Amino acid sequence: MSMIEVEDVVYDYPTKRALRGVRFTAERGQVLALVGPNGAGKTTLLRCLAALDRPFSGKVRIDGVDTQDDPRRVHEKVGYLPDFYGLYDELTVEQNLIYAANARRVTGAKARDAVQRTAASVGLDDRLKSRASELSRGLRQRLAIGQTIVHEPAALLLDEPAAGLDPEARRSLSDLITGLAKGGMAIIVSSHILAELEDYSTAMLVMRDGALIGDGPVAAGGGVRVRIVLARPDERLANALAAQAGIKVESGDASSALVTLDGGPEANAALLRTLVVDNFLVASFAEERVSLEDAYMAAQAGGRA
Amino acid sequence: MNAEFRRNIWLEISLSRIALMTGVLALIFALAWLSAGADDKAGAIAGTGQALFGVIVGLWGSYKAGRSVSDEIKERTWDFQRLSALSPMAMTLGKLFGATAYVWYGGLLCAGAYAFGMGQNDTIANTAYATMGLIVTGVFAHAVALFVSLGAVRRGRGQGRIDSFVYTIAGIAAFQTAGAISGRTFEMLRQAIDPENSLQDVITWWGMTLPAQPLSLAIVCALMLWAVATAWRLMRVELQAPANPLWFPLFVLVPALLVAGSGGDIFARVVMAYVVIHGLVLFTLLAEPKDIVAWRALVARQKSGDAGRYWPAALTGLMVAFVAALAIAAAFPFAGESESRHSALFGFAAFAFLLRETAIFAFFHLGARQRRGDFAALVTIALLCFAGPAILNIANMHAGTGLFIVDVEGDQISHLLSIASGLVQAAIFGVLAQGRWKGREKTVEAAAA
Repeated sequence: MSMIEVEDVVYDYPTKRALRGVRFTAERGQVLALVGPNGAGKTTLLRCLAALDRPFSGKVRIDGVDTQDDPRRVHEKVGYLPDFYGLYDELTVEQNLIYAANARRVTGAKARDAVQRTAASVGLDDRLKSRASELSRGLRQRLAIGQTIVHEPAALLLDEPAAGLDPEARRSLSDLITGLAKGGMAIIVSSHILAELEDYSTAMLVMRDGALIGDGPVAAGGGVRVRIVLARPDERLANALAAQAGIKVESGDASSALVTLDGGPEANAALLRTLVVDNFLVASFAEERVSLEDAYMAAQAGGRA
Repeated sequence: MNAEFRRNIWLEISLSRIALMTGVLALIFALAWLSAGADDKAGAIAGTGQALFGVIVGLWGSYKAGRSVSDEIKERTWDFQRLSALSPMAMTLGKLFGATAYVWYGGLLCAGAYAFGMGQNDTIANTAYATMGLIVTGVFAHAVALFVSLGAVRRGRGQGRIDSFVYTIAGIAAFQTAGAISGRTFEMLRQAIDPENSLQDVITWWGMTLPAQPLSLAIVCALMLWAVATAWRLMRVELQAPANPLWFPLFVLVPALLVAGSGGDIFARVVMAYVVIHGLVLFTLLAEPKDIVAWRALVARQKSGDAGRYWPAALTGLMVAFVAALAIAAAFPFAGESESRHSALFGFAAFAFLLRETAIFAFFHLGARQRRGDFAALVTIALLCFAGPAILNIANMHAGTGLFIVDVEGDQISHLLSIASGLVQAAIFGVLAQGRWKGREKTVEAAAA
């Protein structure tokens, strides 16, 4: 059973259909990047997953619990950080976290342990007595994330969690998300900043106009490509590459090519040897990382096609 | 401890605030004591305590209770609360008593001073009844402010200054209403002193002669429980807890039965009950979401046989109102002599206009600018109820007023006219609403495609 199951979810606003038959699954330990332009339906989807809004039709199940049949149980299983969140400014960090724990049925000694553990994981263990209003924007964001994970939810939904964070805080957030995923949480992170999703996303959901492009999670980049540049144009290059097994030519002409190889460094070495043996004048043979942005742009282009 | 209550205590209560409230109240009571005559000092303390209780608990407390949810929305913490595992009852009580904790600190000091002042000249029982009445009235007012604000929140409103004003006014109105009922306990003071009037220390309610003091306190307690239950029910909706369709009949029947008890005969009681039900259905029509999305979702769920949990309370209310109209017709043969000139059709006439109001709300909420639907519907209803009859009265066509409103004193012909007119108007607005529905359906389907 998948941790998050979404089947043909449709959501309507009075003047607009916000979600059109969205369908995907997310497994334990998976971090899905939810990306798409403004108004694509990302926030609406997250709110439906958190059982805050009820879809017009379709099913959402979190850890096997249907959001429409038993939304309160779903609330216990998810942590959701909205893009615009609030904190109780007059309460201390400790009070905010204690309230968050108590409100999620973590009480007594367990609550105290959860508060200490969460404060440490979001780097606020030295600020427990500070009021939320005294925290910087980055620290407030950490506190909000802490409130969201203090009850150790099975699924974590983060809407633009890194907005306003400095590079150091983003790195901490990335480490935190990676750690939580390793612990078995299914995580969906919505963001406009693709670079921040790069480090921890295992797959990507690309949304446009309320629908998923690619009918579910697509590879979130992170693969390796090889760019080959010849010292002198050679018309044989395309045919030579096409004849090699385990190679996909993404682009190229007589003087260069961008290829994806199955098989790691040995495959790279074998390709280079073949090109040299075939008398291609290889000027450059360099690995390039496939970025999330590349994958996103490819998915968007595919979706428009 | 209730987590929501404790959070509110953290926010509301501090040593400095406690000291401030205590100091200010002590100063006011000292002034009241010093400025009163030697033989009226206890009365001055009681009067000051009662007045301050009204201001602190009735006015300020209603404002605080009404804002307890809308402030969460404004501060963007409401979604977090909706996601909590707190039960709807824990959330309701946590807000009701937590958000008003500081108010209650001051209020209880005032109630204590009131009891002290009153106790100097009266029995312990009377003092206890009066003080309890004061406190229960306060809780009732806060619960009303809370459920009115939850109703506004449900419609996607509730954060503006006008909304806060409405919650506070609702709370004050509740405070005054319950105060008037429990005020009988104050009236008892004089009657207890005056033995000639001691026989009036009773109230005839549902045909039973009951002691006024306990009965009035019991009625206010019942109203308080009703208001808390209503707030809890609306909190359940907000927290996505399953709804019980039987709840709405209870919501309208409890106050209807409380009010109807004071009627002289069975017909008068049923009519009074109907009037309360009619008013509460109108309030619900106003409070519930009525946009195209809500209606489409209901129709879709009806088709899949899953509409029960999502059935709009106002539609259930219409059924209850129709049953009450039937009850009026059934009770008519038992009407007292003074009411026998009326007609058995009064309930059906009123119900026909209730259908008209429902169709008007539906029509305006299916328009393109549905956010202004309530305002447009209310203006239209006001025009039909006031302008129409006024014009007919000016034209000396008094009998025609039944075309727009129910004539309470009207006879059978007048009520038949009202039934026919109400149903025709309901049909007209219903057909217009259906036209808008089809238009909006096409728009939504086009957008979906």
